[in-house]
Amino acid sequence: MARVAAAYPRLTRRRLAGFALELWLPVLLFAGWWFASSGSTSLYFVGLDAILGALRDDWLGQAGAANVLPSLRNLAEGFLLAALLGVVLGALLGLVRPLGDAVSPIVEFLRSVPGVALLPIGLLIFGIGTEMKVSLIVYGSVWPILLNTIDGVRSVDATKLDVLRSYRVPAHLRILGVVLPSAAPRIMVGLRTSLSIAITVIVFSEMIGSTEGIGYAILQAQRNFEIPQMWAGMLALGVIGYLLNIGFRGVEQLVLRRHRAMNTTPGS
Amino acid sequence: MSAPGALLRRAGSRGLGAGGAKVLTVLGTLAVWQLLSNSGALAPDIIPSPGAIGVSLVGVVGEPEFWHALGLTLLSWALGLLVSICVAVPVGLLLGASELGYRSCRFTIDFLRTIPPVALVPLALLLYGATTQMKLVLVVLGAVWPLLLQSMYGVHQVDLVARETARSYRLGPWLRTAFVIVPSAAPFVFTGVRIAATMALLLTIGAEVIGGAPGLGAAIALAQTASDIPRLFALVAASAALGVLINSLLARVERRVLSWHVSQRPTHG
Amino acid sequence: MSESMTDPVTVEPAGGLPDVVLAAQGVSKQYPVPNGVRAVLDGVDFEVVRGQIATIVGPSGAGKTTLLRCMAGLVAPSAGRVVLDGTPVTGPPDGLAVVFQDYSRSLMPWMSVRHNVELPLRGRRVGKRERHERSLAALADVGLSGNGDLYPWQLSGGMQQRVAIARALAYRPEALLMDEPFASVDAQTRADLEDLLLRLRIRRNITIVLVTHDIDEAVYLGDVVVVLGGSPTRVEARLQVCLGPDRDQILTKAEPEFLKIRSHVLAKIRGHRGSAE
Repeated sequence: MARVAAAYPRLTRRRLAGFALELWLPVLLFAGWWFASSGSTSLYFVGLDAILGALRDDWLGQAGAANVLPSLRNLAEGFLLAALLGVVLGALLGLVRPLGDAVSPIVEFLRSVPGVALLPIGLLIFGIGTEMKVSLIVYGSVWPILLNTIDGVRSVDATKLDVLRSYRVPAHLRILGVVLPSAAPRIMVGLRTSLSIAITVIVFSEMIGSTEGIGYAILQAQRNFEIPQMWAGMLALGVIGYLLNIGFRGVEQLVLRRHRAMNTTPGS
Repeated sequence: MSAPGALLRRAGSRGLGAGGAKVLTVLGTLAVWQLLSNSGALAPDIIPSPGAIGVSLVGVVGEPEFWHALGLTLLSWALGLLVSICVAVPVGLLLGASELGYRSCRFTIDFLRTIPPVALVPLALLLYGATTQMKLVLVVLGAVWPLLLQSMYGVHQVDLVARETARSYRLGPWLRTAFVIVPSAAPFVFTGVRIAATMALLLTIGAEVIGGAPGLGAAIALAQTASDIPRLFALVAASAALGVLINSLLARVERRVLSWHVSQRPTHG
Repeated sequence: MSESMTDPVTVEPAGGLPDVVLAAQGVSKQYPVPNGVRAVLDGVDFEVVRGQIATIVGPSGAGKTTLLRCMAGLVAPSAGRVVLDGTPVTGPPDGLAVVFQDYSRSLMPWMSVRHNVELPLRGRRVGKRERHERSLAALADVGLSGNGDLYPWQLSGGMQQRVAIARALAYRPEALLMDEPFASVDAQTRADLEDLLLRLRIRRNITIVLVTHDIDEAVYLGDVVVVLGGSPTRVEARLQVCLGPDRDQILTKAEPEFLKIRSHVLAKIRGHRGSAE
């Protein structure tokens, strides 16, 4: 490490400067929050120390797992189902143009339903419980994936398709080998949007139709006037959401690595 | 402009065929649904028939209370969106213009935007109760992030050659901003507006369903507790129609404002 | 270090000293890289006389664009300086206009052709009526009369580059700098645009500095050809082109003088590449 640092002195300094640049504001805000709230007597805006204490007690370790794990499990289930459904249906609707076009008004209508308005219907059909939450997540998250997959498969480079057709490559190879990989960046964009939506859906579905989970815990805390716990829950949710996003970005980098290498011109 | 006009006319005549397919599909789906309901395969108190929903919808549309609730929802949505745009777009453009600003704020904004605004409903309820003000606060807290991010991103995407041209002709900061930076960033800002508009609708109705604030969402929750299922579906359909309307309105505005952009030009064969 | 093809004496007006508009004096440019610096330009010296077309030619990657950008004030040289009309250049000066290679990105797609041409004049606080007159005149000069209300993307590549040239003309600069302006158009269009430049020079008596990798173009257009080469890049030769202001794509390119200069330039470029390997 020292040898590397010696060989590239400017680079390491630049790296450190880069970190400082990105982090000074969050650190400052956090410190500001701490000091501004430390002597707080307000009912709603409690001291940061109380919040962090509640965070430690209720959201880390055993208690935290009890709150967080069910949510994560449902999230994963719903998201993966939505991804599968979205990509398969999207590829179908995207490639078979007449079908995609004919179905488009229905798709447009269904995806415009604000997810939260479906909550009562979800409760009606499935009652309280896991099925309702997962179904709602699937319904809410499938649309960005579907639409982006349709977009992605339809914008495959025409030249590539011509090449495949002139070499008479069969359809399933065309799709798996060229169309889907070509559409991968677009699909990733859709998956990323869906992830945010899925997180939103799990939270509000737990606020109404559940007896466990992050959303439930936050709302319960509010109802019981346990204000530090409520804030701690929101903070925990922010951290979890952020970590999930970073994790997803990592996955995205891996999946698209070859794609990126393919598309960079040599010597640039 | 005769060539693009001829192209559009041709697409229109071909579109009659494609449009016909769409109408047929919609009607066909509704017909199959009605048949399933009639045969008893779908329990009427869980999924009513399209006919029952239609009847309820007609009834709903005749109620002044419905329009009042719809108006409240639209008001919160529009006001919240407007405030968000007025706050987030200038700030985003400014932050994006300075490399220092961009990199300083990126982490913070990235973190804050991943907090689902729905999680703030309990807090908002605490502070404001189930009121219109609560809805507004929630909408603004949720809708500023995509606008902020897209504006910052848009400024970053201003073409390097365009910027160099402006610099080589010594255009002052005012001219540069008005004639180069803002139009360049406009497509991105518009994407932000579309995302924010959808989110604002979601948050307004969310605040109404979960928090009980007055509006369309409250009517939906009410229909569910009253077990008036066709009415429930009718109201949800109404909220979807609202979403479609908003999306198409925004698309139309976008086509006007961004008529020069690559995405809006008539495609040449 | 440099040589003159014909007489070492340059074309002089009756007064004696040449009227130098733009001069590069010992321009050097280095860039920091992970383990040191990379020298791109090393002591580039040459002068451009008013009313001349000076072409700068060299192999790709020779730093021609870097040199042009130093002259345009878009980037500061690491050593040496650029002088415009006696004043050193520190940032884009008021008397220069640049025409970039990538016309589609240099024109603003949200503005009409006419507004694009008028945009720099707004910066100079030129009144609305005069802006209008100047833009109409400039568009006429480049053969685009009547196209003022179209949008750039509705025009062909060659026409878009003409708009960029019109924009520079309306600006009335001391000198016009062009960075491989015709590299992105087809051969026929390139020939038309080259002749346009020659006509403009006669009609408007403008001074042009044009960077190109095309040797034919450099000799066809230039009154002076500056050959760059070496690593880091230096001026290999400064050649006078005594072909007169009236040139023709077919006739001029068949003249023995043209062929002589052309092969001299080619040899300079080739010769240096050979020794570098």
